Amino acid sequence: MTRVTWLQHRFMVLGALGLFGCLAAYILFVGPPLHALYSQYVSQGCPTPNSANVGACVGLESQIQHSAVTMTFIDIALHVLPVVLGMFVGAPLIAREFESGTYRFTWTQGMPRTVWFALKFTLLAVVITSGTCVLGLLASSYSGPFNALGLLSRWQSGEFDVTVLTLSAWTLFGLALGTFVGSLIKRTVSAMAVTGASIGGLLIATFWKLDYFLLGIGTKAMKTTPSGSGFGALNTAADSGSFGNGRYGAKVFHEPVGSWVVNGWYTGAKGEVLDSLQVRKLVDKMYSANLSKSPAVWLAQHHDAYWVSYQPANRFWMFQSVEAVILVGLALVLAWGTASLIRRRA
Amino acid sequence: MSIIEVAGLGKRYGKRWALQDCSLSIPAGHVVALVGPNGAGKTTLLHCAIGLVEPSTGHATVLDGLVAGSPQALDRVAFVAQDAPLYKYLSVTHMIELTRNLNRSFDTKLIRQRLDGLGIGLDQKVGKLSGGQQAQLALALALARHPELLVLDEPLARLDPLARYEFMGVVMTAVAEEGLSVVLSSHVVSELERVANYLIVLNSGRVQIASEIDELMQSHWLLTGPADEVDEMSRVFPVVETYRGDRQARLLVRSFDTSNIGPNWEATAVTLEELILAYLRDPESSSISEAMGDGHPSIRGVSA
Repeated sequence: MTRVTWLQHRFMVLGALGLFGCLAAYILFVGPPLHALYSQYVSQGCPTPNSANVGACVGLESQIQHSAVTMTFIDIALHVLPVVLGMFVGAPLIAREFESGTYRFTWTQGMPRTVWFALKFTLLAVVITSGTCVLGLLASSYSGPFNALGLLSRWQSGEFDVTVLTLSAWTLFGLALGTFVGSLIKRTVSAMAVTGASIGGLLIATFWKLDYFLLGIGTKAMKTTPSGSGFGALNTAADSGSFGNGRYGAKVFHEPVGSWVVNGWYTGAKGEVLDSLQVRKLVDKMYSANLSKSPAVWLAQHHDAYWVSYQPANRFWMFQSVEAVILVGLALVLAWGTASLIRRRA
Repeated sequence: MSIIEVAGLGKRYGKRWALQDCSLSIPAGHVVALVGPNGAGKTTLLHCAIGLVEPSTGHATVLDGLVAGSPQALDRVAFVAQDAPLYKYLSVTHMIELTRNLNRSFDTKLIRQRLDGLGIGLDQKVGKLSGGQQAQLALALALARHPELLVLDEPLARLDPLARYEFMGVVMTAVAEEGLSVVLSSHVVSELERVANYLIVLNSGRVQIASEIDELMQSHWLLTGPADEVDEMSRVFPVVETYRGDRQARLLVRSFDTSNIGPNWEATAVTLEELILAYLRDPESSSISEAMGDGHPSIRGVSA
């Protein structure tokens, strides 16, 4: 069946591999200069800046920051990948058989059509998702310096959905959805359009809402020093200095280290949550006091506190797995649905 | 042994019945012609028999009880669909390789010989072959599986007369050499007359005729005689169709014995085409035995 799948889909597979190759080449092209800059940043002791190195460090940070735009491009490209693969590999897989009438040839051979579909889909899925696995790894590796400097975070939607786990899962889901839609609509172009709109819509919804919803489940809470960001989902600074396995050995700027801060709020003397007006007054009072101590200490002395809810750093791969399992589960349901459709429809 | 057996078979697309209450049993060892006007349900019947379509009512079996479309059935049945749909972007060699991979039994040597004999190059792209060559390739791929039953859906539709002749020549050679049964649907009655020995006429989703052709020819006669005696003759013979002129009339009747037609009438043999057309013109007429024994001398329900 490998040979059959190759014969029938070699142009599609080669096209996908070509696309992967281009993206991988781009990441490999922009990656080394960035990592060289970061190595310089570390070797000059910038994670623990002092008066001697501050000038050089600011320059290096600025250069690294300028490169962050490439990460945005890579994130966008990798987000588009499941859409493109769903449209151009998934949607035509069965729709083209219906459209050209070749299902009447293939499904009347000795091999049962559901076996034919299962083998073909599995083979294509393995090849395509393997490619996206590699791209996910490359992207994560590339984003290391940005995360270490707190310019970006692996928890952010942009990066969270394009890791080795989630990108592969999104790709598999895209393929399965395209295949299902193709077998339902039986028209290639229409199936491509519906698939693109569906996966694209879901990705956008995930980017803006669903990721935050997922990462808001089962958060921990702790008192901490105000970051200055006030209310709402806080910034990536919480991730500073603890990227991945700590290979960059950078300084810890904030607690909780490497975590994803979901929300922040102030409480008063009785533990009540302060509203925005009360917070504004409190912050004004705190800063007009001309702080010579930590804001957290000042707050404690005034019986106030700043709290954050967060996902600890060690939950990152758990949440990655949760998203991947949901997507792979959906992909399996869609593949089963496709098998049911082709068993019944002709 | 029956090669195809369907009981109460019906297929509905939306509100329209493409096939309704169809019951028949086709015995093995025949070349069966399935005839009917456009939209009669021929393709639907064949698709049900091959398992491409799930019937709305009833069931279909092939080769003595195998569920239509089951892996066991598809191992022993080959199908060539209308317009011979093949992967046009593949070369002939790749098409052969693909088919071999989709079947447990496949005679690569045989198909290469057949295609060589037909002058079809193995390196040619399927899409670049002529309609006749594509049909021949589809047939060769089917025959290389050494099926016990070959089902052909309108295989001659796109072919010129010479290609039709060559196509049916290959089919008949395979029938003679391998003893397989064949069911083919077609509009080309003249070609069917040459090759088929069993006829099924399907009209408006119902079976009108299901019988051996020899038996049909022996049991149908064209009677020519005075127009004013038509009613009398109609009482004696089951009439399939009446052509009444001012003076003379012609009746297509069902009867093995025409010795009692009277001195003013002449009985002549009917051609298969005339017979088929007569039935097709009246979708309500039937030669099958569903209403046999009601004693009415009408064409309806009189057994062959």
